[in-house]
Parts: sequence; structure tokens; C-alpha cells
Amino acid sequence: MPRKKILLVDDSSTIVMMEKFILRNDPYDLIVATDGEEAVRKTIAQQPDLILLDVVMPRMGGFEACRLIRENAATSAIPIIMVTTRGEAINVETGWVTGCTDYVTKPINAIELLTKVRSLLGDAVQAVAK
Amino acid sequence: MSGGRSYISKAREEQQQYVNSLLHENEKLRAIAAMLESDVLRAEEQHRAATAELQRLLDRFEEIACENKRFADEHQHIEQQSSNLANLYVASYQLHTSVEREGVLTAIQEIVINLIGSEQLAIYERNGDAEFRLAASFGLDRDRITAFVAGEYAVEKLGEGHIFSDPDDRETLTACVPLQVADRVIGAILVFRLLEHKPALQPVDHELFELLSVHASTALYCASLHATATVEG
Repeated sequence: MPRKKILLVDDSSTIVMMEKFILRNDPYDLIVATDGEEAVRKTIAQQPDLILLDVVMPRMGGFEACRLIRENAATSAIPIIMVTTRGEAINVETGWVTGCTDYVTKPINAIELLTKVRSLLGDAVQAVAK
Repeated sequence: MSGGRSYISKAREEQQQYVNSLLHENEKLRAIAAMLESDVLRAEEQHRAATAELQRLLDRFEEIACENKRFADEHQHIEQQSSNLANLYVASYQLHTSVEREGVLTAIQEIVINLIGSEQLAIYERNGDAEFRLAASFGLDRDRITAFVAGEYAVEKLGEGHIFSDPDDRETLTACVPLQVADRVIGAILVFRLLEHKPALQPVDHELFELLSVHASTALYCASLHATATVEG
């Protein structure tokens, strides 16, 4: 069975490293993008199974990237988890409107992120069993 | 007369046969009743055994459920510990990734924003024993920072060389982390308001403060040595 691919999008190397660390024991291939534009490009080119998307980034933010990914028929079904410091209701609402599947807030809670990733990729049991 | 006697005799004979057949039937029914009684006893015995087995299984089920919950709690605890260690590992790694001053200051800011959860912070450096000079800040207007640092309260706390945090004061100063090299306070990180969705500092945040107090100061110190060496070189 091919390994699931996750695209990590964040301009902060601290967050990318944290996400890699959290996901390191599960059988995923991790790809990295550091802004919204790169995220959209890599999503089209590599067709990841899941995207972890930061909100505030240079060049193109997460909400805009999410909207573009949803508008493209080839990428519209890919689940997107927004990773944001902005937990306030209004920003969460914007996330849902732009089409994100779920969201987690920074600082990232490892258990929460793992649970959501496993649940969306539908391999919770295998991941735990591993 | 003899016809009448013969009739009576025949009737008695038939009656006797009937009685015999009834006795025989009765005997059979008694045997069946005894058999059924024994079946009932056996069934009752089996029922008692099954009830006991059911109770044993229920007890075992409860035991396993408790054990399962204990393992789940332990698993969660280990995951939490692993997550805390990940925080410390990532912070430590990021602090020592760069020998450039700007790189170190960026790493400190990212750690406070992304791992501790505050978008209002200021980093100070101390020139000898003189006052604390602002090195970098995020999410604050400069007047507020200057006014705050000029106040005796923060300076006094920094001079003590202890990490200070006030869980009840979310609007002003949440934590003050002295940057120390060999017991000398060379700077400080002031953390102001925490993010909206973060109600309070967690135990791992205090560990991160401890780590920053030692490793951020060492990283800044190395960066200044590197800068001096580069200029001299």
C-alpha cells in the first residue's frame, strides 16, 4: 500500500520541525512549502493526501491558498487542516468559509494533531497498531 | 343366575385389567416425573454454573476495561510527555541553528510565538551591568516597551536572575525570563499577553522558559563572539 503524503505549509521552520517531529512515527511522506503560492503549486504537482496549512504567511496567506486549492477540480477534495495562532471565532469562521476541513491552534497539541491527521487519512488503527 | 355371575366376573376382570393398566401408566408417569425432576435439578445446576461463569466474565470484562483505561491514560500521558520533549528538542535545535545574531533573535521569537503561545514579546540585551537595551520585539508598540522597561519592577525582577511569571496578569506581563551566561544576566525575554485561546501557562512552558534562559543566552553570546571574530578576521 503506498504511503500517504502530507504537505506541511508554514513559513516558520520551528512549526515545520514540530510537525515533522509529531508525525515522525506514522508512515507518512512529508513535503514542505513555506508560503501559500508554493503550497498551491506543490498541491497541484504532488497531489498530497492531506495539507497542514498555516494562515499568516508571506506572499500568499493560508485562507487564499485554501480557496485556490478548493477551486481547482484536481485538488478540491484534498482535506486541509488549518494550523493557526488565531483561534478566535471570526478566523475559524473564515477558515470554514474558504473550505478548510478542520483546524488546530498553535501552540500545536501533538495528540490533537495526530488524532485529526489519522482520522482524516482513515488509518488511525494501522497507525496505532504500528 | 350363572349368566349374571359370569357377567360380574367378566366385569371384575375388566376392572382389574383397567386398574392394572392405570397402575402401569402411573408407574410410567412416575418414572417420567422422576426423570424430569432430575432434568430440572441438572438444569438448575447448569443455570447456577452459567450464572457464576457469566459473573466471572463480567468481572473479568470490568477488570480488562479498567486495565484498558489505565493503558489509555498511560498512553496519553506518554504522548503528552513526548510532545513536551518535542517542544524542548525543537526549541533547543532552533536556538543553535544559526550563529548570526538576527537568526538567533528570530529563533527566540518563533519559540515564544509558536511553542509558548504569545504574540507580544520583547527581547533585551544588557550592556555590561548597565540598562537593558531592546534587541527585538513582536506585537508591541515601542512606547509601551520603553515605558515598561524603564519601570523599576521589571528591572528589579531581572536583576534577581529568576524566571518570573504571573498567571493572574494576562494583560501586562506574563513572564520575564532572564538570559544568563555563567550566573551573569546578559539580557531578558519579556512575554506579555498570551494568545486568546491559551488560558494559562502550562508546565512545559516553564520548562521552555528554563531552556530559553540558558540556551537563548548561550546562542546570543556565541553570535556576539562570532560577530567579533568575523570583524577581527
